[in-house]
Amino acid sequence: MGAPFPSAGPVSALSEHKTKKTNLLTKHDRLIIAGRILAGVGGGYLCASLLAIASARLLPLARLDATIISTLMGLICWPIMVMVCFAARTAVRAWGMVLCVAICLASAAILGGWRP
Amino acid sequence: MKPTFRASMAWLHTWSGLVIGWLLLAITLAGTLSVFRPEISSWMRPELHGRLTDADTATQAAIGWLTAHAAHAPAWYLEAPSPRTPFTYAVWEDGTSYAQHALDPKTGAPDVLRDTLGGEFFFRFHFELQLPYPWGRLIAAVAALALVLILLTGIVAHKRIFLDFFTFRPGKGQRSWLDAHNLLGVVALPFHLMIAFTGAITLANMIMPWGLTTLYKQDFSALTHDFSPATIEREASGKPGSLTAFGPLLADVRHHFAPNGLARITVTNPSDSNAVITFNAIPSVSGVGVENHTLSYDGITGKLLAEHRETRPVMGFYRFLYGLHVAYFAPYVTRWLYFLSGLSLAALICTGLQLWTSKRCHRQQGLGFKLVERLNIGMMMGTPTAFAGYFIANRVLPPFLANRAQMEVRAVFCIWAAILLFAMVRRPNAAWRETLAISSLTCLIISLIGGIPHSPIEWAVSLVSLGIAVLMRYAMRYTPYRKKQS
Repeated sequence: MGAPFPSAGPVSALSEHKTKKTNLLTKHDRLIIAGRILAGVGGGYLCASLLAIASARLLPLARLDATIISTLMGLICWPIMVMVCFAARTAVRAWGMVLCVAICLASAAILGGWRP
Repeated sequence: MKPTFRASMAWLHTWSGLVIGWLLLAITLAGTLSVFRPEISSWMRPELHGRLTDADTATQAAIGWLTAHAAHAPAWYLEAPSPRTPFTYAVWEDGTSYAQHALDPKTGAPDVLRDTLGGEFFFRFHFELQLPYPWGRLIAAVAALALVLILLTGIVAHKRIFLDFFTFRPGKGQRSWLDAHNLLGVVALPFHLMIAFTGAITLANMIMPWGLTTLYKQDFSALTHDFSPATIEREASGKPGSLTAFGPLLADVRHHFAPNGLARITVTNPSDSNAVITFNAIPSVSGVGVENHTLSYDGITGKLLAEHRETRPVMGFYRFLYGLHVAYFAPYVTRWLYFLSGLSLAALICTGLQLWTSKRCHRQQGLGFKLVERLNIGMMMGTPTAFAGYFIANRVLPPFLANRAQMEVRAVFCIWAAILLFAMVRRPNAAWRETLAISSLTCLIISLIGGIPHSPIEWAVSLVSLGIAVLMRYAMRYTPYRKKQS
């Protein structure tokens, strides 16, 4: 199940600030993890919601069918966005990806006639 | 060192699992018990012995009692008697709150049977967590999606998914926990993924309502009509009316629903001339999806107003996914498989939580570690003990105590809190053994409390609780992780 916590994973590679190998996280580490969590949970939810809205607007289906399909897509999108945010090489990149996806989806939704 | 995709997913798996694991364990166990909600409800009402009638007589008795005693409620929501539940379960608005009672099959009165929520408690707790609306449902929905995330990351993190399936090395400390975790995860993986995602779907309108609000805005009546076309919405006229006879109505409904059975009856404005009676079928024979067939009748004349049989493909797919989660369709063999898979999901969560501590127990131990190892013990043993305590409270509390149903529920949370507190203050290795002993004893008491079982349900409850008691006694032989790894 991967290497033990301090020697691998998203944290160590991002932080060159560690002076010794301990279980304790530096302040910088905490900031980076918090950034990723925020990107994954908050930004991921934003993307999932926008995907639901955009697909509800754009899918060429009856109103009820579009509602159901778009909701299912939104639901599956959220956990996947969280994974994307933690797979990204840096926290800044994770945020960049979230914002890119969100802007694309929002534009698509607006083109489809959605008004926030 | 450049972190690999797998390492970062393993990290996410570990930490999201730790954060949400305890909550998921409680939800999973409650859901597993909900598989047998009607059976538990029957077990918890021993007064039903000798009072059984056929389903339609029981329904008519219930309607008769409600007409006399709850005529001015805006609506009655009834779960119809069926071979699995021999009584009517009724919910109606009583002043400012909701009254919910099992109604006696013979007289239709609620006070013949003891006041208890029965299996309904586990079912409600499973997605409402005993919290006020909408918080419980929101948290449960997020937990369901978190489980999807944990399972997906777990699959990525797991290197040799097929090979490890045939690997179990007992007595090797942390390695054994990992083997058990992998085995439990892989063996029922399709079930775990299905139940997590469909669980999120049942609560989809709580967390992902945006597609719906975009397309329907505030037009709820259009939504209701699209969603279930046979629903008739009629305002109360203000003129009194009396309900039509249920006997012929029920015969007609059974004729329409055959070969499926009747599941739910909704009566709106029961004492008004605009009364409407709606019937939903139970998907017992023809398919999986819930609410695939609905009939609405005029409450006064008994004329059929609308019928809907679900044939729309997308809606059918949605109902299919929903039906997979609630398993109303399932015959007994499938039901037991749901139960066992649910237990294996609970065990998967427990071994995962246990791995977190066993991996870290040889390192420097901070406050976080101590908190986690104690919370682990408190939740792993506290949840089953509290749920088992509910069964005992049902038998021990005097049958006709005031507020009895609430006291049973309170007993659950008192036991839970007591075990959590005990695990907090006691040395972990001792707490592990002692809480397991308490859990095992509680389960043993359930199996003995009724004396010799009479019905199949009593046999099942006795044997299952005896089996769990034995397993927990067996688990006492192992101290969780302090052993030196060999």
